[in-house]
Amino acid sequence: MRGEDKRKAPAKPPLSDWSRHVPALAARLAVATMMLCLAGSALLALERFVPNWNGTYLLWVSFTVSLEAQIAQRIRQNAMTFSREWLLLLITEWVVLLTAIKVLLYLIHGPARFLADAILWQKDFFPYFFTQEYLVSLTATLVVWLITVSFAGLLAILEEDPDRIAQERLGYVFVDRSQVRGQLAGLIFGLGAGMMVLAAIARIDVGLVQQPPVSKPANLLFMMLFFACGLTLLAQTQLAMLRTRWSLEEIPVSQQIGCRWVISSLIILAVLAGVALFLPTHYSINILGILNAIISILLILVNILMLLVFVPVFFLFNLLASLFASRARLQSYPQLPLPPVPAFNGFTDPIIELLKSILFWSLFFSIIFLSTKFYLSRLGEIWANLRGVPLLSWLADVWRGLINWLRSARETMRNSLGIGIQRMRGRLQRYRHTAPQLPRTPGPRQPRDQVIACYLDMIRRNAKLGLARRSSQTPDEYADMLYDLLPAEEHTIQTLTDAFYEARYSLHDIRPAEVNRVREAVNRIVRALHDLQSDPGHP
Amino acid sequence: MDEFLPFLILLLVVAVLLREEALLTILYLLAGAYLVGRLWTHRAMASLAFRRRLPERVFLGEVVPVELEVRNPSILPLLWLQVHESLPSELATPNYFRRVLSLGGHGQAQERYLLHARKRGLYSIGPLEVKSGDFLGLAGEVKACMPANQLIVYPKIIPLVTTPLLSRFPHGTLKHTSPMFEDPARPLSKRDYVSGDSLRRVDWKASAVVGNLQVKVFESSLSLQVMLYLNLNRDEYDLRWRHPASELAIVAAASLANWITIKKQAVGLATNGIDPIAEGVVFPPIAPKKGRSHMMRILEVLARVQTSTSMTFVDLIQRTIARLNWGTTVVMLTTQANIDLVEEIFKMQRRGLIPILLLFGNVPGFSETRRGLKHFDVPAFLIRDESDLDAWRR
Repeated sequence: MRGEDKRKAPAKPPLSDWSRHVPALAARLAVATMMLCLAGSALLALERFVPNWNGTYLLWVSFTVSLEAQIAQRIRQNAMTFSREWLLLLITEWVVLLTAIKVLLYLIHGPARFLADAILWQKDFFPYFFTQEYLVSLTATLVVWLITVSFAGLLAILEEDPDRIAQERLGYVFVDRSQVRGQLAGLIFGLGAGMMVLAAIARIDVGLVQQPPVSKPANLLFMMLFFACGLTLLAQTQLAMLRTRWSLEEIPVSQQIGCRWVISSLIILAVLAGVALFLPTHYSINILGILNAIISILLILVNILMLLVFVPVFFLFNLLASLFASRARLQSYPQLPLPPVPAFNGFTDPIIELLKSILFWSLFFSIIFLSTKFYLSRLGEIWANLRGVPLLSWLADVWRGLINWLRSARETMRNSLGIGIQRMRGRLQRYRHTAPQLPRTPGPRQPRDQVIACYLDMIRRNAKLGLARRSSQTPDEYADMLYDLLPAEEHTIQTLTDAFYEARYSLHDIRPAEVNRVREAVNRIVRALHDLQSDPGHP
Repeated sequence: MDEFLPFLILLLVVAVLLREEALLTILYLLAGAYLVGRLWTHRAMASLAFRRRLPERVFLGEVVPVELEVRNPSILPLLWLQVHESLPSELATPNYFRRVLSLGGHGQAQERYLLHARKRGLYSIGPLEVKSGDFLGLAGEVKACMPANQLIVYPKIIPLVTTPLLSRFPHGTLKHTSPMFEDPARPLSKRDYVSGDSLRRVDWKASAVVGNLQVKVFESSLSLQVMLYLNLNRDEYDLRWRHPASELAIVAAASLANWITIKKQAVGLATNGIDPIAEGVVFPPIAPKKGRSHMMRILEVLARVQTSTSMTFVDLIQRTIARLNWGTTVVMLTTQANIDLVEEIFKMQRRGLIPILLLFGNVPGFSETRRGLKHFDVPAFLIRDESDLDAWRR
């Protein structure tokens, strides 16, 4: 039959599946809100040049036009580009928009204006229909529409479309979603940069404009909202990309992801926006004064350390002097230097200002450092060439040597500390334990005695882990008990038992290599038993 | 997202040059989003806990449920967590388990899948690989891993009713008809004294009651001590029959060990097959013992053992035969009876052992071999497939 496609089309997700649709809805609203913010910034800049014009309605027009453009784009994408149907949809959409804006303007200005204009249209239609205000509104609408259509096109590619996924799975189509998302991010940040320019225009006081600069909160609010929505959009597109990847790989996905993603990202961004508003933005802090205070504090610490070393010496010296001289004037002990008061001039609350300034400058330098590092890491070739320069390579060697020396010093300190603690623990345990014990590692004896001692040592250590040997158990029976717990170590247990039998009951020569093998086997079994005991799944 | 950092730098420069504080606030928002995203996932993944619950040993044909538990002890939710568990293709189709989960703060998820124990062996279930990322996709993916667990599938056990195993050990728990193996611990009845009966067998109390001398009659019994020698030397098997014959030999060994254990007799195992866990080392021989736990140990060896070329069958017998007690029944499960093996069989007889030969696969000239061994009272059987074991199921 005509139009019947015998291939079974993949089923689209039902509308009731909210977890799939909530992120898409959030993305649409984010785009519309971004357009509202963009219009707001443009309005604030424009109001400096046309102070008597009230263009607030453009905010809601931008929001509505953006939503409409996204819906229309979704409808248009089913038709082939520049086909009859596509052109028809586009033209009718714009006719409706033009009419709606005109109607809106007349609703704002009142019916009297409409009646007046209607008479003027009869004289000359175009100049009186396409008034200045109408043209400005149309221009704003066109810009918003174009930007929204760009967004919608990119979002449509990133969305989880079952038809496209089916084609990708069969290899008919390849979509580079990372690149598309990169374009989306570029568009967001590009528009953000444009908003910054508009904000600057609103703030510039060049004397040509009679209106004073616009107050900060309005611009800040629009920009914050724009970037928050931009980040929300990036978050939703990240989810869309992941979903598409999981669909392509046919991995079942939890239903909770969509809602949790939207809620979490909105909460995080709201909190971040709140914190960002609180953080300081004053940059002209006396950094040299701060550095001076930090260095002074470090010097004081060094003085205190030296004092702690020399006070006992001074005390002894005074004691000796008092023995030989009846009225000898005693040396006075060195006084603790008082910390200098850092010079914080003109601050109402020095501590908080200090913290704020430290925060600001650390952020400032961190961004510069990370950015430089990131930039240089991308330019690998240049860096490799720079390393060839003799002075720089010498400096790099010195730096590397210093780092290695610090690392080895740290390791040595750590090992020494560990050994010291182990020794102290050993001594404490020895005093507590009343029964004579076999040493952990058998001392200098015959290999036969060492093998037997290792075996007994294993029994003692296993008993501490809760696996005590009964006095009636033979070595084979004990081995069976171990085997039940540690089936993977069967070979090791057998080796150890056989070695014990040979050392204890035979007259064969026992080689020193056998002692090492037995020692390794003991350590392996004790370690495996210890791991088994620490395993929470083990009863 | 390569444009993010350059944009931050640009923002910072513009803010400093224009002295525009609003731009600094935007910078805080963007930098904060980047840092939060980066740190969030790393911290949440660092504290993630996994657990895999499955039985360590199953029998052939069982369905094994495996439970995966993923727990997020952190207060930070994990928006997405992709888990991928590798599975052996012999037990599961497809050979992986994949899911995408979402864990809230202090949340946990449990997933369950089934494995089908279709083939004996030692299998690794896992490892479990998980990955996650931040909500903006700026920081890349973070991965974690849980090592694999091992699952042992025991070989098939055919329930035998009778076997051709012989014994010379008197005084056991197996009933026997020969009066040579009368067990004084098992009195059967009493009869009148006949000249020639030992006075030690007289039941004085019964005699006092009856008035005539009464003699105790005892039940005959014997005990069985069996050592199974399983040949898994790849070179000794015919190429076409290598896999089916060796697997059949393993099934026969498991079935015999099971029958002997049910009869509460002692069984041991020696094989020249290798242990895949112990890096290809031959399994040490298991001396004959009674008991279910000992039988499980033998089954575990039979589950894990693989064919190898490390030791010939005759070498295996020569190295271990000295430790066997007199009267032990030695069952040799192999694929061919060459002259060296026949010599070993005769040596066993001279030592007082009872050799029995089971051959697996296609053995040309088996009838002659059998006739020859029968002359020396050595039973020999040919088993081509499991249906040949049906003779012992009746």
